[in-house]
Amino acid sequence: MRLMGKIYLQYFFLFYKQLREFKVDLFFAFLKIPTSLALIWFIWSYIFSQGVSGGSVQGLTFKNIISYFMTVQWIGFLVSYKLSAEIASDIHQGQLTLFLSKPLRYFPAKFSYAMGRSFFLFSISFIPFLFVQVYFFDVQVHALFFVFLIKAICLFYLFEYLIGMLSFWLKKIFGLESLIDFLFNVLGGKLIPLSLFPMWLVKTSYFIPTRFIYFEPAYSLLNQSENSLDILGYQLIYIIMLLLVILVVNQRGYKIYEATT
Amino acid sequence: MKQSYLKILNQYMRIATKNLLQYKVNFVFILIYWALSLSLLIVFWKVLFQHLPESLGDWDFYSLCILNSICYISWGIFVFFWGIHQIPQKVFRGEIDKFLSRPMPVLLGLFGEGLNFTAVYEILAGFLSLLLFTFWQQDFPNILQAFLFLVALIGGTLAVVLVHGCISLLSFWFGKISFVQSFIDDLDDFQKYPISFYPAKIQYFLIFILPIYFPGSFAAKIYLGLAIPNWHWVAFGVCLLVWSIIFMVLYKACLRKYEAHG
Repeated sequence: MRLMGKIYLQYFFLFYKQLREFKVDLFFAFLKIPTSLALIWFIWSYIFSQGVSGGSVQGLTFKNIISYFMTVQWIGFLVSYKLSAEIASDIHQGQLTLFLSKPLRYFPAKFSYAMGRSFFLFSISFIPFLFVQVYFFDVQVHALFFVFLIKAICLFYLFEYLIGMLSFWLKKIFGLESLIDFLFNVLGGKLIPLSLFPMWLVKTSYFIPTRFIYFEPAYSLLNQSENSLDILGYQLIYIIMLLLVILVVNQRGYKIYEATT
Repeated sequence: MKQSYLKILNQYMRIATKNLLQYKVNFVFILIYWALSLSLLIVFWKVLFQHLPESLGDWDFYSLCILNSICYISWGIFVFFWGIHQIPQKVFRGEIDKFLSRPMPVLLGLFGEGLNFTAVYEILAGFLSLLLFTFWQQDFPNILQAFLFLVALIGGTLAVVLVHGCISLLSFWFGKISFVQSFIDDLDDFQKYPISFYPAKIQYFLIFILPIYFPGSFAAKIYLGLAIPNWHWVAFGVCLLVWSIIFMVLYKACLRKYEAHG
């Protein structure tokens, strides 16, 4: 059991070892956030300069909007690993056999790697993020935000894992991945804060976990979230639900895989 | 000789079509996704204009939708050349060898293997969307406008493809460059918004360095009949020419480097 734990810990730090080989990549990974943010800054400053009534859109000022999108971009950076595509590739190229023939479990190994990757990216970007949010946007970063964040990352990778596992049945999942991406953009609040949408769409978004990955953690920083306990509860429920579904999908998927290879 | 290239390309096209239709559920998902993604920015502007004045400078909701459709067509043309975007993966896996050992240009092989027929769907969907908005607004371009619009759209997209190609070719020297590509891909998002939304220095960057202005705002302005300074046409020609030359020079240097390493 301890050995297994050590192995999964190795998976946790695998990304760090891999990235040391590609320093140029790391440099551009840093550049990604300010670039995306610059675009958002230009668009919204132009929109606000054209006369937004009352200086705010649905109670969100220009600073609020930029702070919100910065958090969303940062979360996007932390979870930039396409776990579903990796799993689909493992299944189709037979790499999954390597895991099934070893005293290793596929789900914890992949999940550890993904979480380790996010942890590493968090550790290198956390201080600049915090500095900009506090210094430029007067945001009060509270401890609960980090709880939201950790659960959001878990939720994201569980979701990604599930999509990846569907390739046992669907064979190719590129189309499905793209659809999920769309869902994240619209109902996850990546495109525009969900609070700007009509009320019926805001309510619908509670039934999809994407809301709790990007929108809620980012919105909580603006101190505009309605009830932190509700959000924590929703996140927990979705994590448990996804874990249960993954358990079933794993068992059935492995049977199909073992029968066909 | 050139006829045999066409035959090879034809074979690649057949393979690409069969690949696409091999997984039907995936294909259906892709079709749904592209239809939805076309509406993504329309949703964005629709939601925003509920809280904003009627227009943002020269751009009202209708013209922003036209720009969105044009960007979609441009993306479709870009996807058609997806093989160029895949060069780093092929270099990394040593797959260039197979093209070198074949009696055909490496570029043709790379282009052929990367052929992606979702591009046709995107181009058609983009044009359909463009027509719908045009009919909705009853603001039709004349023949000259339509011709110049197509020139700007195709030429501009080719210039962007060449820039991406040059970035991809850097993988011959730097190996894995996925983050660089991803960084440049992010910059492509600037195309989706009118150039007048950006500060002057950024505008010059988007015209001369990363020429995404041409298949975006430039083409949209021509289509909508908005005024364009003459020097923008000169910049368009120069950009296309310069990036073509840079790409060809880099491409030849890359092949020399690759062959020298065996």
